[in-house]
Amino acid sequence: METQVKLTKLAECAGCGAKVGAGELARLFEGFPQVTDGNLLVGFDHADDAAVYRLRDDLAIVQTLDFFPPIADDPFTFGQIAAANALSDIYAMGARPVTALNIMAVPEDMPSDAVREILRGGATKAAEAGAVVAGGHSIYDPEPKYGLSVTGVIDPARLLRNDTARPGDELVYTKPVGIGIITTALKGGLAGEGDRALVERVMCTLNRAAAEAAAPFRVHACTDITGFAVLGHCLELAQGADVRVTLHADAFEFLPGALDLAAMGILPAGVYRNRRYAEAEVSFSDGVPLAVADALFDPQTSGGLLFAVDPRDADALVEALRTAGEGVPAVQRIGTVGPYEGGARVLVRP
Amino acid sequence: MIVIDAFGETCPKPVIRAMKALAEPGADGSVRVLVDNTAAVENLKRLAASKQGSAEVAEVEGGWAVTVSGVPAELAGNPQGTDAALAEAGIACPVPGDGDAAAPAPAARRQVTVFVGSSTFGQGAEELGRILIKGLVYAFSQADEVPHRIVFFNDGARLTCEGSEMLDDIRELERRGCEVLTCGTCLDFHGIKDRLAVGGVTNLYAISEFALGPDKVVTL
Repeated sequence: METQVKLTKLAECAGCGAKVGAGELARLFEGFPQVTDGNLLVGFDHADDAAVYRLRDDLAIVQTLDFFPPIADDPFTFGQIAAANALSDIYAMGARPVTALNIMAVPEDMPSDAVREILRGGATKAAEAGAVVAGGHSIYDPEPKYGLSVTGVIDPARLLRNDTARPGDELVYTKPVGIGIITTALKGGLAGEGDRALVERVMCTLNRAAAEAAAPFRVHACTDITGFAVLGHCLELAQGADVRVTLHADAFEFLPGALDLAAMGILPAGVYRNRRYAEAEVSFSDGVPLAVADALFDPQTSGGLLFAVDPRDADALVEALRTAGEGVPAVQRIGTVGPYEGGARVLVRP
Repeated sequence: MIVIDAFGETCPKPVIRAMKALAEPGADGSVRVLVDNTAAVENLKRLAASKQGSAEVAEVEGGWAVTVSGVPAELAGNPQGTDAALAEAGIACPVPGDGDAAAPAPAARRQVTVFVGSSTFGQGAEELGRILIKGLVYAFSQADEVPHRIVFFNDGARLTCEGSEMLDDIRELERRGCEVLTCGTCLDFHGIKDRLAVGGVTNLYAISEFALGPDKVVTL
């Protein structure tokens, strides 16, 4: 038997921490030629989770692609996390995944068992999501990478966008925060096996149960929280709908130990990238500790869904999410949406 | 002052090396860390604040020198400071050795190679022997410093194969850096080579080198 591969040793950045910053992305695509097509309901010009193309009045396809270097040492776990993360964009649009393609890069000398385990992890999650793995593409690369390109379907009338929140909405989030901090600590040997098991379980959890629980309610906007962190994604939500988001720091559920690690400076570089991008638009009240602010800038690989829900449905949505049990790892009412009256787009109160 | 060259190092590593250096006897509450990315600068500032010290940042060619100072003695040592805080948060703190010359390793200890030649521990009631070996391997897997290597041979070769109750503990040992090896001749003899579930295969030539090498050898 070959010595077990420690995948994260092969990766410079972990998971969604490897994401190119939002500001950088906008600059990269400036001035490109664009074909306009009225059936493209969500495209580049929206900072949304996936592209949406209308085929018929009652049917649109939702396309997304997501991949990253290893965030877990175990190949099967890494495969599951990468797939759950890619599928999440489909759920964030309110859609149902139907097909998935593997995208993979592996070192030439990686044992074939490990490669197989990564793919088996992806296949397991795709199956759980009810999506068919229909093919894929792989190349050699010294740093492993894996993910999926997923296609989903939806009735355009039921599409959940991230730029349609309304003043008065309540914000509900579905996974505990601090994933990037804990995975960074694990890389440094500063977190234990219990922490590893918990953070991997959270990352492996599909956002399917959360999306399905939310379907009956008046959800005005939705996004999944990933590389741009709670604050980066909240800022996109606020900018997209020209509203203001107020978050309550105390309402967040952080992974055990995450705030202590943050206070000691065990933070992934992505925290500072997200800070640089969003800081000018975010205002922290006195009394919000630096560690909490840092944790809200922490990249969340395979994070949860953020719903902006009509206040009349907020209690019922929270109840439905709680009833979903393990499929929704943490149910938090993190804040509210209000009219934008100038100043910071996102306020964080204690 | 201890100076750490952490150029080229990302995320947690410069902070972990600084934590280790502060815990050194002679560090006197300060350490200077050379880093080449702003995330490391910010992380070191936070480390200083969490230890009630201050951080001074100076530009140097290709990066920054971050000087952490004024860390009170009771917070400098990992046992009194960091470990306690981490333990409170439910986090174990085995700061891994990183082969770094600037932060000298704590007291050099001889590495240990363990030979396991039986599926029981000690002579006497067989059932008791099985309970004991399982408990002992578990204890190894939880030790502050795991053995350098464990070699399973003769009847001990069954312990690394499917059906063994100790696979999780042996995998934990391997995960924490212990080299796990099983004697190939023994696997062949018992006809269980295809059932090996953890670690690699070794031979008597290698085992003789382990026995005569620098490690302290313990035979169970």
